[in-house]
Amino acid sequence: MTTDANLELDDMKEIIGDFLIETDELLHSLDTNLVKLESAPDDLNLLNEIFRAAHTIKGTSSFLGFEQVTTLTHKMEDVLNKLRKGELKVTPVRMDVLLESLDLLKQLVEMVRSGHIESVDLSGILAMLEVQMEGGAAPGTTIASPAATVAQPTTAPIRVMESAAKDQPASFDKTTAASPVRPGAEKKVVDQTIRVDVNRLDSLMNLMGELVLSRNSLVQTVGTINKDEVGGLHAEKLNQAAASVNYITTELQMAVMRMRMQPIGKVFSKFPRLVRDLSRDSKKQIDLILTGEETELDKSVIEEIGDPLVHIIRNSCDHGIELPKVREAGGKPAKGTIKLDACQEGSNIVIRIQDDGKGLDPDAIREKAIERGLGTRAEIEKMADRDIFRFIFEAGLSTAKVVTDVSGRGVGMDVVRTNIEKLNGQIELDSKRGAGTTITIKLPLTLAILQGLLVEADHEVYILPLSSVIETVRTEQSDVSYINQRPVLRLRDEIIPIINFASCLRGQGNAVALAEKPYVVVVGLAEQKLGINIDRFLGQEEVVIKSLGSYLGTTEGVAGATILGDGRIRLIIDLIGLFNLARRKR
Amino acid sequence: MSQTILVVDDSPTIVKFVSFSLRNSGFEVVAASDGMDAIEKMSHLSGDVDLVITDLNMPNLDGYGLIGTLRQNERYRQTPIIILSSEDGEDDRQRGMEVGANAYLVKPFKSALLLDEVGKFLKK
Repeated sequence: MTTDANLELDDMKEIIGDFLIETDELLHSLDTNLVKLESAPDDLNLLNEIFRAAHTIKGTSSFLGFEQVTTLTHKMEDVLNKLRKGELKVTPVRMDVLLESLDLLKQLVEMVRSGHIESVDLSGILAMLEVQMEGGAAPGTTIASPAATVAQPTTAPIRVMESAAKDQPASFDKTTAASPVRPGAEKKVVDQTIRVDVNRLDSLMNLMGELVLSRNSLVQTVGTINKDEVGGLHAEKLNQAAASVNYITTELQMAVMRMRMQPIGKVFSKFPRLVRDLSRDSKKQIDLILTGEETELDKSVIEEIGDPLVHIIRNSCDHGIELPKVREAGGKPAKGTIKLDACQEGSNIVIRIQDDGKGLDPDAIREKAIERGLGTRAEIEKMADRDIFRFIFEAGLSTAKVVTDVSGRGVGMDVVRTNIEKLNGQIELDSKRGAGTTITIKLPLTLAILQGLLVEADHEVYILPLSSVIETVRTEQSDVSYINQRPVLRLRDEIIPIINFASCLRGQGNAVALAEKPYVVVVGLAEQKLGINIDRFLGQEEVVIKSLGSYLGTTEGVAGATILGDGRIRLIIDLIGLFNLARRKR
Repeated sequence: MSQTILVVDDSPTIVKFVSFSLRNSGFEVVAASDGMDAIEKMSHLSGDVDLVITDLNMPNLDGYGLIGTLRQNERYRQTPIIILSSEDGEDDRQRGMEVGANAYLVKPFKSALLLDEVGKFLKK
């Protein structure tokens, strides 16, 4: 790094922080655009955009003295310049070399981020770029994975500054990778964004939570005021003030939440490259169609959802989509399609991954499940296909080789399930042999403030996260039957196990709970459903989860506590824990 | 009163680098991310811009376009303009000077060099 006599060290740090943010955005757009270029090799706008990204990285890195970054981008720029002038054509090999260079570039930037800049042997990749620039594929030039020669930074990369604003489409970013339309034309609006430290947003969110609790308390207290004691006029004024505080708090809460929202396109945009690489490796032809990239999710959810989606898409490519010949033999187009869609439904975000591959074989999974002892043969054979598919989220089952071979779902579905559980989300899988598989993921918009459903059971009030509640039913004893003395609810064509809080959380009563209360709340977590037997519904309230502290903090099935409007402390149910408890009781 | 310099570059890193150097030397800095943005920002300024530092390769309106536009405006006909470019080609330099720039610096440069160049046009 060059030091500059006219700049303070702190200034330099800030500038490098900015460089990293800017470069991340550019690398991101390069990633997306280079893959796009393969299918649109004559798109001059796209080529110019790619060229400019490389050019900018070259310029800024040279300023700050990151010579290796400059050298590499310089050579990439040379090739890109010839492409954009039409002196070279876009070929698969050329694209491979450019993408390899990009990968290496990313590693170099990671080194800058971690502060451990080591010398990397760039000669291999530079030579390959040189060959590409000369216009020829030198015979025998293979891609000898130059990335492998890079020493990985020893420490985990430290983000100099995480910026919530950096992925907003309206930042300095010129490319807006998430945008489905060709950028360039629409980028005329003057940018009006600032970057804010995430910690500040988090503390704002905390304060917001406290405000919501106080608001609840205020509204409830005002509601119980005795007009005759206070006087009609005062009571009226107080009422108005409380109503207005109530309204403003709700608006403010929405505004704060929106500040933390990021478009899911940020996650989606890395998938075209993933699918491209996978299909090239496996000699398959796969189209990836992205829709709903502008759908916004809380930052914390965005950070967690990437991995499960990678797993699912990888599975679709590896095992779902068949080889072109097989597809044609089956009367399908040679090119397979994976659709990835996101949209908002109420206070949930729904992500759907759909492929037109070979689908799952329910009978193979049935056999495997019986073999694993997940139920008796009679029970499992009676189960509907949709319930059978749930088994692939079981750890033991999804990693089993036979499932991989026969049904074509590889490892990692249990990992997917764990991730979705963590986010209090739900996952559902539907598949038709020969026609493909659809996976639907439902996630809450935000994790910080939750809509709670207040229910009463055995004279105790519990709060359930409303986003996980699928439905509430009034039960007749005739709807309840017992399998192995465990109560289950027959709800339309589904069979849902029933538990009650007392036996699950407090260990009271029979381990085998009797389902004799009048209501059942059906909750969903990842792929499973559970019915909770309760006495009464009390209402709905916005709650903020407070930890129980180390003394009580590890109680299974309890996520924490909250203060309700009436000032009382109530427990918030942790569904992951509850499902685990229920599984063990059963 | 301190003098105002307009810095135009589509790279926030470079804008910041240049701005810091200039501010440390006592100049006011107005930053813009491309030619269009620069014109927009200038139209909102109450006072005059005393000097313009601009990149060439930018989206929307590039450096040549910006310089051309400024030179057509009575108010900015004489304002000194320094080009910062990562192109070290004689063509670019010549074209830049033809559209009306006063100086041409090739990135990267030490801030001292930039300040020298600015000092040629602005007396503190």
